[in-house]
Amino acid sequence: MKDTKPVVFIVDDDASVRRSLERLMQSVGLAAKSFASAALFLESGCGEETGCLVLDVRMPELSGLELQEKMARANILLPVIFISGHGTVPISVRAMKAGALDFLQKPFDEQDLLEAVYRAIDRCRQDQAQRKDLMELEARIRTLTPKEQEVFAWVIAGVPNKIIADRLDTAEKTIKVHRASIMKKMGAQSVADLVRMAEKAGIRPSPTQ
Amino acid sequence: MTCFLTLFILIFGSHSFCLAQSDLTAKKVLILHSFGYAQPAYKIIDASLQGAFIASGLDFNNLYFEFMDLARNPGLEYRKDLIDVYRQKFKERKIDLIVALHTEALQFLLDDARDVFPGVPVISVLGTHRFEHSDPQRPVVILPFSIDTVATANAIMALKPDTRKLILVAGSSTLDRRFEGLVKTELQAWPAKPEVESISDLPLHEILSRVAKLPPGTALLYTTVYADSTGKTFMPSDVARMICATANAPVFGLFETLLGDNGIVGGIILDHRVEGQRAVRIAMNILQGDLPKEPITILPAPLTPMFDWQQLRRWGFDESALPTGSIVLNRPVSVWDQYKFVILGVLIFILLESILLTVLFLERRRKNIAERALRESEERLDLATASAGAGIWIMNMGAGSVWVTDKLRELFGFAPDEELKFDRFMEVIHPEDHESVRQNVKQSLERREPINVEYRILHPGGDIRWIVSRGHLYSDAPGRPKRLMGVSSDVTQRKQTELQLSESRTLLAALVDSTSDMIWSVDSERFGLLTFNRGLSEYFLNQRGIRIEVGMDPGVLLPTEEYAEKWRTFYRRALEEGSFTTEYPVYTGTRTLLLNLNRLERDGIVFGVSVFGKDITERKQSEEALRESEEKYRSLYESMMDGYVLVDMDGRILKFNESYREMTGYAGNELPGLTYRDITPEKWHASEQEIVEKQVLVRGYSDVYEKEYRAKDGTVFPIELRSFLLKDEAGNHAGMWAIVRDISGRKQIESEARKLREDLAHVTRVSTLGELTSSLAHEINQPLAAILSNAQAAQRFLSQDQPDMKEIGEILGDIIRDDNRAAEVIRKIRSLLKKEETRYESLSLNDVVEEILNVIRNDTAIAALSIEKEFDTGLPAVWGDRIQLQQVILNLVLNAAESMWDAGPGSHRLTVVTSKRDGLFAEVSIRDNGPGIDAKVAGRLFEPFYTTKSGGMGMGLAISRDIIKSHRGEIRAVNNPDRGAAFIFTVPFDNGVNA
Repeated sequence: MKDTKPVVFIVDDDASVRRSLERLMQSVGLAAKSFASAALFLESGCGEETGCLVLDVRMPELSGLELQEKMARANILLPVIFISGHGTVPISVRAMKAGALDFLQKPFDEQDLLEAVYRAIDRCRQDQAQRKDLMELEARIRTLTPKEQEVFAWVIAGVPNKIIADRLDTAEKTIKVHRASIMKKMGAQSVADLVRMAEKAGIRPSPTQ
Repeated sequence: MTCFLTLFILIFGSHSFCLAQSDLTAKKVLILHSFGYAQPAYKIIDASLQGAFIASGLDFNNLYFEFMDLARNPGLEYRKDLIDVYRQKFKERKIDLIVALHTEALQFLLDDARDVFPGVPVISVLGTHRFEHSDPQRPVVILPFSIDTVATANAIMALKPDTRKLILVAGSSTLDRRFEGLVKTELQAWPAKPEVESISDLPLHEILSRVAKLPPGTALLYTTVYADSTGKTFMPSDVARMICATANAPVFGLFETLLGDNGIVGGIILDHRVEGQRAVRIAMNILQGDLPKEPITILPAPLTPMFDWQQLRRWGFDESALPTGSIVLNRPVSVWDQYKFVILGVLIFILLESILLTVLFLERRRKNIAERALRESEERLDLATASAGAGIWIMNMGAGSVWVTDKLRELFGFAPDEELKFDRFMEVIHPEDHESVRQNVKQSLERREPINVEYRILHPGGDIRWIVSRGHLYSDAPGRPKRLMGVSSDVTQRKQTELQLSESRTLLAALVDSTSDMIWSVDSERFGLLTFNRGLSEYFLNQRGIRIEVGMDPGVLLPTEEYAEKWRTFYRRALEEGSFTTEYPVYTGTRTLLLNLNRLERDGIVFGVSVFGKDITERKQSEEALRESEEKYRSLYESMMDGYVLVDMDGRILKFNESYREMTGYAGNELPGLTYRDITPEKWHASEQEIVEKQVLVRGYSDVYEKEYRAKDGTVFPIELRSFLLKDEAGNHAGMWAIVRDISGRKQIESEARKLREDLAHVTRVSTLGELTSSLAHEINQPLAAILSNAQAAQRFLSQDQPDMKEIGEILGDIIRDDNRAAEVIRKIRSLLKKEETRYESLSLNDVVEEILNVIRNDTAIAALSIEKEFDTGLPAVWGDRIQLQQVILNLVLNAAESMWDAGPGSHRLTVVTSKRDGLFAEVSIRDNGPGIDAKVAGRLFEPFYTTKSGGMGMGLAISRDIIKSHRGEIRAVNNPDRGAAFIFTVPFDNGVNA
């Protein structure tokens, strides 16, 4: 995944609004791409880019939550900024529940929107970075042998080598060799490092009892 | 009738008289009717059959009349029962001949009852040749029923040569259609010009209203109406009566039974009397043993032109235009017509008496003068007698010469100086009187008696005169007559009067006996009957069973002494007063007589009382009924809350009730001088005149319409009325009357109600829009957001080193467009929020619907629906209030949306359809696919404050219904066949006259 120039995706059924938002983004040097409906956006195949989605909540054929679900399934990590002309509390609550990063009420000041857009782009970048870390970690974990993975689960539970050897019915020395290999493969300096990585990768420690 | 029978006997009677009386009296004849006794034709035919059979020598007790009533009792079982009854009844009575009326009876005899009267000959009257002769051993003679449409149509043309159109009136039953078909077929062969039209497909009430206003030059031909097009059944004669009473054109027919009370003019018709007599003539031949040679003999009927005198006169038809041989029925019975000869007779009698008196007086005087003059001088005598109109003659018996005065020469037409002898007199005397004059003179001479002789002479002028001559024989010595001397005078006038009187007396006697009125006289002593006419004797015979005779007095004639005394009082009063008239209720109280009593005198001596009595029961009853109904209506209209007014054709007020007077504020004596226009403000005159001309005069009444009156104090107030046309008996326009209602109160209430409705509609509109705030905010925020973003983008573009001016120009264009958009939204919302008076105008309903859908399309509830629009693009403009109609659509759309969302998420679809309805209305249907309407609440949907929603006020549909009602439309809710509900309302098209 390459770090590209961020793109602001705009979904609004009002052509005039779409055009004005595109212009606003262009005026601050952001690339903008607009769609008349969420469905059209989904169909376009966009979303791998760094950027954000500015979405009018009035979506006749697709609710916010549904869109979120579909975007997840399509691996689209774009943060969503909801904009609405309604501006009533129930609608903003529904919007946030649907996973909005920000909620703006029309008509909005450009600063508010631009700040939200930048924030979203940052968030997008962070998300993309996190995702990249995680993928590297998972790749490293996949290099461990099954035995090593077993030992790994005991180590991060803070169980001493002697007891691991008892449980696995092997020699303490063998466990030591495994631990060293794991530390090396994972690029960890300490057990604390290993624990953090395990957490990130969602690996659960073996039960101590 | 009597003369008809006589005629019949003269013409046909010869056969029957050939038979021995004893043979005939034993013969038994069965007269078998297919239908019920009430068939009008049966009455005439039965009377004819009975009369002719008896006249031909049959015994009345050997005539058997049976009515099978088959029309009302169809079915085999009934006929089997009938056979049993007849078998029982005629077991001991051998029937020699059967007269069967209508084909059904014939068929019954040939099939069902074949063995009951085996081989008995049948004469089928009113029959048809279309029957099955399943019993060839039995001779059958058919006198078929027939009509002659063409001859009738020709008679119509002869009577009414201006006939341009002949309208057929018949009914819709099978029988009616069969007859009409027959008539139509016959008319096709009719070469005459008039157009023929049938109005038989109409219901009777429409036929009646149609025939009441036919154009001139129209005649009607009525066949039968047993049932009209709605299936309602009738007696054809009743319908004929209704049509004849209503029609403004003459009605002709093809059946005898329609004549008379039933009112047709006439036609070429089967005369049932003649048919009866024909049947009897054939029957007598058969009874004599002269059996028909063929199993079936068909003898078509000679038809008779028959017309009704009253109807001919009603339509002003000339009797001389009737076909030859026409029978004219129902000659009139008006007082003049009935007593013309009595009155003439009396006048002639008075005249005659005075002439006789004068003649007698003159003769007496003449005689005196003559005797004196003879003694004095012949010249003076001549002068005197001549001035009295008498001539003198003296005949010398020896010489035979006759001396006469100049007057006598004049009377007999002799020349002034002509020498006269007795033979010369005989020359001028009428040959027929020669003998009597000779005899008379001879007798006088022989017996020496005075001569008195009346005879006719042939005057040289060519006319015949009556002369009376009287004379004496003078003798010189006894037994030797010397001179015959006498006077002659002209009595032609007296003789003529005498002849006329005798003629009148004969006629009078006939007439007195032919009237159903009662005429009699009584003596002045014990009031015994002197003379009476047939009217009186029949009255006593029929009503009382008494055969009256000369000499019967009130004590015998009347049932109680009280009534006898009443009559004696009448007679005494007549004797005292000379003449008087009174009404007299008869003993039983059921009938009323109008009596006219006259004292009878002869030669100054009172000898009795004459009475003329006319039965006026019917007249009294109808007078009474009329008075009652008038009273009823008077009290009705006097007590009415509504005004009643009657005006003449010029609009002048003739009659009115108290409510009307009160309403207009005039005094009772002021109104009759005014016309209704005087109290109607000017602006209504034209439109009201149009209502009178196009509705009242055309169909007899108007629709209910509104206008205003100006009361006496100048106040103008609204009224509502319906006017009716009044016709007199001749059908001329006699005036108009109206029921008038003061509707000031109602108008006030209506206006308040409208105001309330407007207020309520406004409140609910505002609250509905309140519910839509978020949607409306969006609708405005949208352009505002675009404007702001565009402006800010423009600012940035401008701060660049080389601003893209083309881009900025486009931005400004967008800003202007969005600004206008926002302003338009605000305008629409404001118009919905504004409280406005109802304003009707011509509207495109599609635009109205589209506009409101645009206003609300961003409401969250609405926006998530898929809305389909199916508009009839050819929809004419409707007449309505834009805002109110939009409010209705708004309510219905929101309701539909809410009900769908309440039922849960899903694919919600709303369909809005506009269409035409009945040619007068546009219809809007708003259909959802939600849960539909629960049957339990369906009846209450449109009630105010009824709601199924937690937050609803329950006014939406109630207001909608009021709005649509005030538009004269309708609103209703139905469940769709598949799922969901539809709310449908109608609005009338703008027909151009609403304003």
